[in-house]
Order: sequence, then C-alpha cells, then structure tokens
Amino acid sequence: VTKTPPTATLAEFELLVMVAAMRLGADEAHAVSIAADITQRTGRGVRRANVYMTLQRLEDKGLLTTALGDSRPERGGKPRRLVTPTREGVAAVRATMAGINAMTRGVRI
Amino acid sequence: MTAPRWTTALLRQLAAPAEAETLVGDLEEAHRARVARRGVLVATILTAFEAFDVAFLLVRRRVRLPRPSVSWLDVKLGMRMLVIANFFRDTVRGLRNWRRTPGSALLMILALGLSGGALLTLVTLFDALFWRELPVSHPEELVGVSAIERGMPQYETDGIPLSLFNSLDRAQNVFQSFAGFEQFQSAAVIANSGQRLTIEGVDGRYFETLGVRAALGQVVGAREVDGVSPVAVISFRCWQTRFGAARDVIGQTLRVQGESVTVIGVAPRAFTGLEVGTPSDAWVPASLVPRLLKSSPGLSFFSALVGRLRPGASLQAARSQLETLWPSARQASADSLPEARQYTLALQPRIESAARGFSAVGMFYRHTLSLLILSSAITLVLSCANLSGLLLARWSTREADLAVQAALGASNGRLVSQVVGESLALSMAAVLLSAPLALWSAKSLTVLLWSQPNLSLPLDLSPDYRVLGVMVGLAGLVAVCVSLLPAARVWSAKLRLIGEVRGLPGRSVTRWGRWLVAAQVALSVPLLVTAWIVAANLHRLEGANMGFRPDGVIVVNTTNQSGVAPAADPVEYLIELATALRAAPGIGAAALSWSEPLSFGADGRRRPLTGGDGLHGVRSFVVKVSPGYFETLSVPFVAGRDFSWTDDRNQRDVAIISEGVARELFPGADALGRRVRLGAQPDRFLEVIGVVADAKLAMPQAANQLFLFTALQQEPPRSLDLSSPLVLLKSPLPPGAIETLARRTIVGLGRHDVVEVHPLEHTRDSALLPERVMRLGASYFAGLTALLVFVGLYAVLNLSVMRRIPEIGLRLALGASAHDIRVTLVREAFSTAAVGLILGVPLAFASGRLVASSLTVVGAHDALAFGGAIALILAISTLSVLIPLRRAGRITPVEALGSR
Repeated sequence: VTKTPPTATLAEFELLVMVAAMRLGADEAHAVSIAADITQRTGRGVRRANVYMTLQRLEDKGLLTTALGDSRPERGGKPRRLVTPTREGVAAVRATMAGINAMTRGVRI
Repeated sequence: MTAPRWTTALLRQLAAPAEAETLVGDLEEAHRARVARRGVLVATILTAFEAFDVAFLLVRRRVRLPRPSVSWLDVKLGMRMLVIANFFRDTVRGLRNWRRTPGSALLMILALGLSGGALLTLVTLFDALFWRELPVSHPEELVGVSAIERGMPQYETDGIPLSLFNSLDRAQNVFQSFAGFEQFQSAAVIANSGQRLTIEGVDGRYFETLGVRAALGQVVGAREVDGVSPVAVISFRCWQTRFGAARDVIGQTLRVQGESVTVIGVAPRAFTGLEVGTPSDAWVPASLVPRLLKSSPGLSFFSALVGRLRPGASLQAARSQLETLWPSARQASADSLPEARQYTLALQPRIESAARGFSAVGMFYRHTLSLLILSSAITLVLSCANLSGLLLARWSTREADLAVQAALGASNGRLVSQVVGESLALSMAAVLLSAPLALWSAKSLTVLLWSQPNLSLPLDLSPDYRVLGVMVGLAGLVAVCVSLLPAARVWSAKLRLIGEVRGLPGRSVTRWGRWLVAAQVALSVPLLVTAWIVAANLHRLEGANMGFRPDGVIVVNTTNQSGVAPAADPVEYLIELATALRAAPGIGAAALSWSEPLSFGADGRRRPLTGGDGLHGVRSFVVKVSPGYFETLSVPFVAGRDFSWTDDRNQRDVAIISEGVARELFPGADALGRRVRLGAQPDRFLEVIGVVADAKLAMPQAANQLFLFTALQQEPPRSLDLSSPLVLLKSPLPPGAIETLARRTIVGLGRHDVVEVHPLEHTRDSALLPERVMRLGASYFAGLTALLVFVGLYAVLNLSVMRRIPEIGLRLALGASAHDIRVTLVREAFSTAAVGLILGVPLAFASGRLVASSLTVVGAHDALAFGGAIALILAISTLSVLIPLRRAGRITPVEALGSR
C-alpha cells in the first residue's frame, strides 16, 4: 500500500505570507513588500525579522523558492531576494483555506 | 537618504555573505520608505530597532540550526548574546521599577552621582597630570634625565649645567638624539602690551628629539642655537590669543626683557612643551637665554634633559649607562664651573621615562590630589553601603514575587541577574549624571589651582580612554558592590517555600541594614575629622602672624624699555627710582628687589651659609633687596640697621640675617659685625649689619624659614643694568590708583615699562591654594558623608518601624505606653551610631595622622575635631530618628493587629 504524503497546512502568519507572495507575483514579492502588504491589508504591525524567519521555514518545507532579483537604486544598488510559491505551497494555501472555510461554515462569527 | 552605516555593518557582520546583500538592501529600501512617510529622525530610530531585531534573529538562527557549518564558537557566541539579551532585559525592567518610586531612585542616583562625580573629577585631573602621554611621535621612546641636589626637594634644584649635559652627550650611545631645555617665566611685550610668558630655552636637537614639526614656519634648530639668533617658536595658544591667529605672524617680533625676538614658527596645537601643567608660550635657542636672563653665559643650566632611545635600547640600558657616566661627567663639569662647583658635585641623576613629560606642578599637588582621591573613594564606598542597605530593604519586600518566579522554574542566576540589572541601571544613570559634572568641576578646579581664569586651560582635560575606562569600571563595580548583599539574600530566598515568605522585611534585613549604617558611621568619622583638621589648619594659617604684613603692599613687575643705552651708573638710577616712588603722593614706603615674597623665584632657593668661623652651617634663602625693604613689608629689626644706598660696591659686602640664621650660625653670641660665607656662588664673605625678626617670606606654611638679605646695590653693575627690578610699594590707596601712579613714575624715568601690578595678598592666596583646595574637597566629602549617614540611618529606622508594626501594636495592646516605644527606637538609633563611632574613632586617628603629615599648624589629634565629629554624628542620629518616631507614635493597636 503506498501512502500519499498529506498536504501541508499552514500556520496563520505563514498563510498571510504565502497569500501576500501570491498576490504580489514573482517579480515583486520579497520580504519588504510582503511585510508592507500584510500591514496595509490587515492593519497589524509586522516585524520583518518574523517575515524572514517564516520565509526561511516555508522554503525549508519546500513551499516556496527564492531567487536573487535585479539591483535597484532605492536599495542602494542591492538585489532583492524574490519569492515564488511552489506547487506544494499553493496546495498548502488551498488546503489551509479549505480547512478554515470548513470550520467556519455555519458558525456565526 | 541611506540607513545609518552601523546598522548595515551590523547585519553584514552577522549574516552569511550570500544573504547579507539582500538583507542590507531590504533595510535600505524600508528606511527610504519610512523617511518619505515619517521623517528622518523617526525613520532612523525605527531602522535602528529593526536592525537589532534582525541581528537577534540571525544570532538565534545560527544557534538553533545544527548545520554542519555551525561551529562551537558560533554556539558559544550565541549563548553569550542570549545571556546579554536577558541581562539587558533585566536592566530595562530595573529602570521601569525605579520609575515607580522616583523619589528614592533620584536620591540614590544623586548620592552615587555626587560621590562618583567627585572621584571622576580627581581622576580626570590625575590623568591629565600624570597618565597622559605627550602629543609627540612615539612618546614611549623618550627618556627624561633630571637632577636632584642631595638632601633637597626636587623643585629646589637649579638644573643640570650645560657642560654636564655636553659631557654626557659625547659619551652616551643609548640615545639617537639627546637634548636639553630650560623653562623660565619672563616679562614680554607683544604689540605694545605687557604679558608674562612661560618660555623654554631649547637645545638645537630638542624638536628633532621629540619629533615635533612646526604647524607654521620652522622650529628652532642647531643653526639658530649656534648662531644665538634672537628667534622664537610660539605655541599655538600664544599665536591664537596673543597674535590673533594672524597668518603673517612669521617675521613679527616680541620683546622679551627688552630684547627683540623674531617669530620663526608656530608649534602644533597639542604640543605645549615637556612641563605638564606649565604650558610653554614660546621656545627660544638655549644660547639666547643668558642674554635674556642677564646671567653669565658660562652658568647655563637645563631644567631637564630628554633623549630618544636608539632602536633596541631600553630605559634600563639608558639608566645604567647614564648612571655609570654621571660621576665623571659631573666631576668634569664641576671643574669647569668654579662658581657652581659645590652645587654641581651634589647633583644626583634621576632617569625615568619621559613619555608623560615632567610635572613640577604635579609634584607640588600630588599629595593634595592623592588625599582627595582617597577621601572620594571612601565616600563612594559609603554611598555603596548606603544604597546596598536601601536595595536590601527594597528586595526584601519583593520576596513573595521572587518565590513565585523561583517556583515557576527561574534559576538562581536569573533571580540574581534581576538584582544586578536593577543596580546596574541605577549606577549607569549615576555615572551619566556624574560625567558632565566631573568634567565641569575638573575645569573649575584647574582654573582655581592655576588661577588663570582668562586663559585657556593649562591641562588637556578632554576625556581619554583611561577616564572612560574608569567611568565604565566604576559603574560596573558600584553595581556589583551595591547588589552583593541583596543578591545574597535573593539567592537564599529561592530556597524557601512560598508559604514562608512574608510581605514585610524580615528581622535579618534590619539587622544587616544596621550593620551597614554602623559601617557608614565608622567611615564617616575619619572624613569629618579630616575636614575639620584641614579647615582649622587653613583658618590658622590665614590668621597666623607671618612676621610681616602683606596687606597694603603692591607688587609692580617691570621690564626694560627697548633701545635704551646702559645707564652710566645703575645704582644712581635705582636711587632715583626709589626716591621718586617714595615721594609720590600716597606711597608710605617703597623698595626694590629681584624676587617676590611668597613665590618661588630664582633667588628664592636655599643656599649654604657658614659662619665666618666655619663651625656652623645652614641653608638659607638668599634675597637681594634695596634699602626700605623691611619697612615696606613691616618686618621689625631685632638688632643693627637697614641697608643704606651708601652700602655700595665701594664698601665691604654687607648682609642682614633673620633671627633664625643668627641663632644657628652664632649660637649665644651677638651676630652684628660677624662674617658670613655664602656658598654655591663664587664664595662671598659678607658682614652682618642687621638682624631682623623671623618672617615667613618664602611661603606661608613652613615654620623656621631662614633668610639672608644682600644689598641690591652691591650686585655687579652689569646685572643691575640688565635686570628689571620688582617694585614693592606700601600704600593705603586702592591698587588701581597705585598702578596709575607707579606707571607714571616708572615709565617717566625712561628706563623701564610696567608689565603687571597686583597686591601681595593675591600672592599669599595663591601660595595657600593647596590648602584651599584641600579644604574645598574635604568639606564637600564631609557634607556628602553627613547626608549619606542621615539617609542610611533614617531608612533603617523607618524599615524597622514598618517591620515592627504588629509587634508595636501588640505591646500597646498589652499596656505599653507610647513613651516605651519611643525609647526602644531612640535606643536603636543611638546604639547603631555608637557602634559606628567606636569603630570609626581609631580610623579617624589614622587618617588624622596621614593628613597632619602634610599640614603645618594643626596636629593630628585635635580634640575639637574629634568632639565636633562625634557631636555631628549624634545630631544626625537625633534628626534621623524624628520621622520614624512620629510614625511609630501614630500606630494604634487596632490598626496594627488588624494588618496582621
């Protein structure tokens, strides 16, 4: 009997980071823009150190990949580390959202 | 607008190289966005916080991830960072705790700040005088050679004869360059205004040896020295203040003792010569000095020598070589100098590192400074004991809190770290308060010590790494000392069960507190006694009969006018000058001399004297004076007569001696008409024509000052013509009026200009400065001590009342009267003070002896001082018990038992 590996699920902050990365797209998603996007949409302050930590964890789990982007003048000529969700990552977002939806369905919140 | 450089450097330091660039880029990008939104200041603060945040993440990541690249070093570094982070958190928590009780926090910070500030002030001064290296290239290679006359204090030595230096220089091979210098004070005229300058006469290799180059123009070199050129290099300060920082200063002239000297260079800003504490204003060729000082060219002396070691040579090698060469060089020099033979043969070398320069001023104040540092260290220990008691009480009320933390798994280390963190917060705040205070008071003290309010400071007081090190060390040490007792208590509190913990301080706390207060009292007694002794000494010195009256005497410094031909008969001119001054309206008496009473001048040094029979010998101050000197200073004659203008070179050499000299040289006999031999100079026999009463003309402190006065008019005519006399005037008129009068009279005669005028009382005040500074310091520490003892005793008694509320209530309920309760408290206060006094009085005896060794008038065991100190401690005890007594009086049995 072959056992298919269970789809990974995400913690709350991991979910926010993944969704932000998906929204911003492969050319714009990096730590600073992700933190800004979460702050702008949820209104909560985000420590960039937490974003780095989460990105590292998600990359270790294989849910996203990172690559160096172009150098930008507003960054003192330094490159950005751009984030792209993997197929497993997108599946994990779906699975987590499905779980939340299933749990909240019928509950008056 | 980029992020602060240190933030990016921090991240680069901690991140892996591949990651560092993107992290720094993120920081820059976020910073730019913040600047646009919230301004530079807020953005910078937020970016700094963010950098720390990311840095902590990086460290934690390095610790937690067991990647193969992680070495033990990383782990250890990470652990250390975590411990530091915890400690930092405890310190911040400590600060927050103190915010809840701002009154007591402020009191503690003030107590620590005032005592720590005083210590820092003194350390700053000590550093500037003794520890700071000269601002020259490789100061550690410099070796200083000075000479001491056998059996004489160093500052009374004339210096090293030029011929002795030349012999040493020819024979030595440890120095790559060897030079000498002589520092002297001189009247000078710059742009028509009279000044007093400190000048160094230097050898041709002086600047080369030190490796000092001119900031402007050139330095004095061998060519100028060999050619006896009338040139000078001026100091940066002199250039700024006296020449208005003019770019065309090179080629301008100044007049020194009537001699025109051309400026050829300006020294670098930091360089002020080799004498620390007496900054030089100008450097002239040493060969020019005899011309300026009107002394015989054969009798040239260097204050000290300085050599730069050859590569590979050590101070020890230099010392052994020079000590070997010294006796033969000294003998050769003595043979070539018959006038100073005896003096030269008595010289001993003193060879030490010159990296920190020479400091005659420092030697003069060293004792005073050391005593004050000792007092301030005691005061600091006292403050620590005081704070330790207060903290002990504070922590004992939080035992319940600590026990809960311990029960939840906090280690002993974490609990103690809280105590130390809180103390550290306190001591850091105190040091931050005391640092500017210390710098300010060091400056004020320097101005006071050197009495130069209008000039820039003679010392470099800018804080260097040593002072900063002392500051940081002090903060750490104080934090550790202050938290020792409370930490020990917290450590043992962990061992107890929660159920046993009380919300009130335990009995042992008040017991420890009482011991601490007793220790404070014990330490305060010597400080109070010392302060009393020092103050009494100064009071008596000020009120003492000095044997002459400085009040109403005005001192006028003069200098030769330029371009005046030598007088045909200098004595004739001096008679004319003295007569004209005496005849001026409002002048009671006038006299001329070459040295000022109460200050060390060239003539103020002691010379050997022998009675004509050669049986008895003494060392005595030798002063050249004109007729009318004793009348001007109100020194009474015991026998014989004053000089008269007819006692000139055509007559026998005559002298007037003080009573002390008469007693020593001619015991039990009449001194009048006897002969005295004056050594060290070409031997001179003088006939005693008068004996004056003993007077403290050299300095106000020392007793038994011996004097021999010679007649000014019997000096060689050339010396008389070239020297500028010092004029002493006795008058009831105000100094300003006399200055106008003296200026008109002296300048009117056409040979001299007036440089400066001051009352003789100012000179006396300057001579008493070490005592004044001692009194200032000692009173400060005594006052602070009294305050600390009061606070300590009050806190302990108050705590004791709080602890005993239930007991007092119970006793009241059982029929004890309020009077009984009061008696208990008063007994507690006075028994603590008594224990302290018993321990402190022997200490005070020891400290009194130490202080009295440098004092002249008051003995070590002044009964009044001890009585005063004991009375003050008892008064403080009484005061400190008043509020706790009131509090105890308000306790009612119902409330007290209810609170139980």
